[in-house]
Amino acid sequence: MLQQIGEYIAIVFGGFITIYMVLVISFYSVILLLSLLQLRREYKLDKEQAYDEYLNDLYTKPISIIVPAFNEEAGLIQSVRSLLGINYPTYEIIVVNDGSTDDSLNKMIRHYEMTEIKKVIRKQVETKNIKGIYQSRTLPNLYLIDKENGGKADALNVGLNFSHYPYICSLDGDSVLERDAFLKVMKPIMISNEDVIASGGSVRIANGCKISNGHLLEVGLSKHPLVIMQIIEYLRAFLMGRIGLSRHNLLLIVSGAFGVFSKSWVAEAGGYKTTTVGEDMELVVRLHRLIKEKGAKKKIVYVPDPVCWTEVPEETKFLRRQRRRWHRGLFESLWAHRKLAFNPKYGSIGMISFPYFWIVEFFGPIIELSGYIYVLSSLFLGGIYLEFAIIIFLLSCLYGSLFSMASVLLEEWSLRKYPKVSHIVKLFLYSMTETLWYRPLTVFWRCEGIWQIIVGEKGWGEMKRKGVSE
Amino acid sequence: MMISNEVIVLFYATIFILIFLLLILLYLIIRKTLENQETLKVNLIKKEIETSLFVSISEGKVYERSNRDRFSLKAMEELLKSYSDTVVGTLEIQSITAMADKYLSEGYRKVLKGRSWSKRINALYHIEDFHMHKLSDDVRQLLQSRSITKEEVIVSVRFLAATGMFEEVFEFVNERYTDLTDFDYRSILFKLDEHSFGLFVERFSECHPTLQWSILEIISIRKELSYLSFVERIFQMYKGEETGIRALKAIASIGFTTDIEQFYSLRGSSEWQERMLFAKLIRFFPSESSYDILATLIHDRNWWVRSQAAQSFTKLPKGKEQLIKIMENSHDPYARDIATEWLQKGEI
Repeated sequence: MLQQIGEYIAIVFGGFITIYMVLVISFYSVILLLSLLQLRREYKLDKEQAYDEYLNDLYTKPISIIVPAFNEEAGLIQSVRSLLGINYPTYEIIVVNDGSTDDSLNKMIRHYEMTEIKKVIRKQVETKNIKGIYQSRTLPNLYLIDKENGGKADALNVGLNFSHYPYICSLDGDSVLERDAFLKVMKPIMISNEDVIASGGSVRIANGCKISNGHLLEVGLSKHPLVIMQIIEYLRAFLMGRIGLSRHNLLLIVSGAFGVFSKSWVAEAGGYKTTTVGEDMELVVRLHRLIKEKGAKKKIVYVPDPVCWTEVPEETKFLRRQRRRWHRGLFESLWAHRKLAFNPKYGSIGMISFPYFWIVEFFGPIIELSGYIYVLSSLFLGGIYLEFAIIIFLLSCLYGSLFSMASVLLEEWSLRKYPKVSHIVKLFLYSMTETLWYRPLTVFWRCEGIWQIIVGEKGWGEMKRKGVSE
Repeated sequence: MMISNEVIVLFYATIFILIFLLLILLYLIIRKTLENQETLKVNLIKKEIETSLFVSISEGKVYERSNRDRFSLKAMEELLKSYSDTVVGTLEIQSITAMADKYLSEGYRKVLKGRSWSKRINALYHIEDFHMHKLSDDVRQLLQSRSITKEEVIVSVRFLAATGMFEEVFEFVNERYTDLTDFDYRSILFKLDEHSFGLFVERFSECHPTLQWSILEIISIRKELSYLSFVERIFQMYKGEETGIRALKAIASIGFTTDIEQFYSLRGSSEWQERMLFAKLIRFFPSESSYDILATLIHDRNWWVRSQAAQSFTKLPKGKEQLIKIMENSHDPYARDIATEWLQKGEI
């Protein structure tokens, strides 16, 4: 009797996980197909040619680039240098020192010969107090704002208030941009007659690349398995997920590491939210909401080609912290805007994006984790459990490894940032192993994130940076 | 048992997908290897012919190369492209066009008729860059095709604009393709020579609004005094409308007007853009009333107007003194702030 109940529960439970996975796999397959169609069209387009026209001063819209910096002395000077070398006609760089406790401020002042200036700031969004504003004597389009510590979002808001231009871009202090990145990311805004109010590019991993003086010299592959797995993960998220979602204005994340926003829309939405750890996603959700509530025909898009190279954690300890934080950020955004979920008033965002993020992105890890536990325990129990376990295992291979392998191939088929044949082979082989170790690890960390939400843990946790530049 | 069957099906499906992916991988590896070799070859040829090609261009001659395999043509195309971005002399440009006509036009002709969108676009960009007027008819033919995309239309019409085909271009932008953006029209109009652009100005009233705005935008950018009376007339005709504001913008950019007093009423306009543009225009007219008007506008409730008024002060001979006065005496903290900022701007 007891055994029968046990078997019954096992079958229902196994069946549930199986159905969940089949659904998610079908969803991903559709998205993969959409991405394929989109990329196919632009296949072999001579990218430089296509952007030449936009370089003309008359056409381009000026951008304010905001670089929030909190204890980033290792990479700050270099990433500002990389920004000074970008290929874009009119822009200003606003470094916001968010009360750093290291030498970031003085290093900037010394290196770029900055002097304090008086300046009126149009306060569009409330922020913490500003201690001083500096401008470089040699590079008049470079500003530095020193303020009281208030978190990344607050720093971005200060930059937003200070900025002179109609478009703003937030950029992490430790990332390196390709020279044409801004032209490419601004193109949809320029040609759409301002119907596009936010545009994001891809983020790739800089660990293992040759970078000198803030410029990317050669794309390479790191030796750390953990970094290689993150490369694959980023490829998958950006190439497969976002292209498909962007096409239908379903995008909920414009990468915090590299995205351009229309300033007036951000200001109208109330700026960056300071009480969340996922301010970039939260802002995009709020913009979508504003668009729908105003009944405006505006769009938020993703452009796969412009790439921002950024450093990722190489140690398990820091990666774990990052993933737990991301998961909390995801929850905060979804929870703050829970009204949108399954709400037909918000169109496809409410009916597709939100349910997807709740079910697959947020609760997914719990279901996956229980799947792993099921598989492991069935090894000991055998019988009927074992067959379900095999099904679940095969499905999770499909779910984890095969989609990742497909993403690696998609990258080589379309964008091809990695120059050597060996890079592709290596990435492909690593992606085969995803289901066996990397996926379970990240799933576990994300579940830890959920646990942190339950017990009410806040804050970022310290991150260690070594700087990407030589 | 039923489940066993499912396991088997799933197992085979996984294996099948795996093999499929491995095959694609194999294909991509071969492709990458071949392409890396091709790039290597093209680069070698580029190194080999670079100097003599450059000499030919600078002397206005046509470089001769008997070998016309794929690699040579690719190398030639890349080199010509890099030169066409930098050279400005008529002789050099003619030489580039002649060489492109001689070596590349056949290939482009085929591609334009081909099915690949990205290849067609690339060819169009090159045809435009190399000024290959010889291919105008092929471009026209492409424009007639039903399945043409917007991107192709824009590059094609821009190319025709550069060849000075006024009637044709006018028909395209004013009748056939009326749904392009400001930005696209501007990029097309910008390619017109002075004569053809003048014809557009003449037929301004026949144009649809977006095209009208683009024409005014181009005048703002070119700042040509010869169009002043035209934009003044347009401003009067379309007062209070978007077109009127754009005409005012053009006048403010040209920086001159026959009669500044006709604009005086704008200081009380309900549109902030008009107040700002007026503040911008008045900086070219150093008279007592200009100082008074700017002193009013620097107290405007709109930040842009205040900022422009302060900036205009700095351009007037006695403007600095006025700004100092405002900074010290004004009751309005916003006006004081903006005056302080602009006074300081000259220092860095």
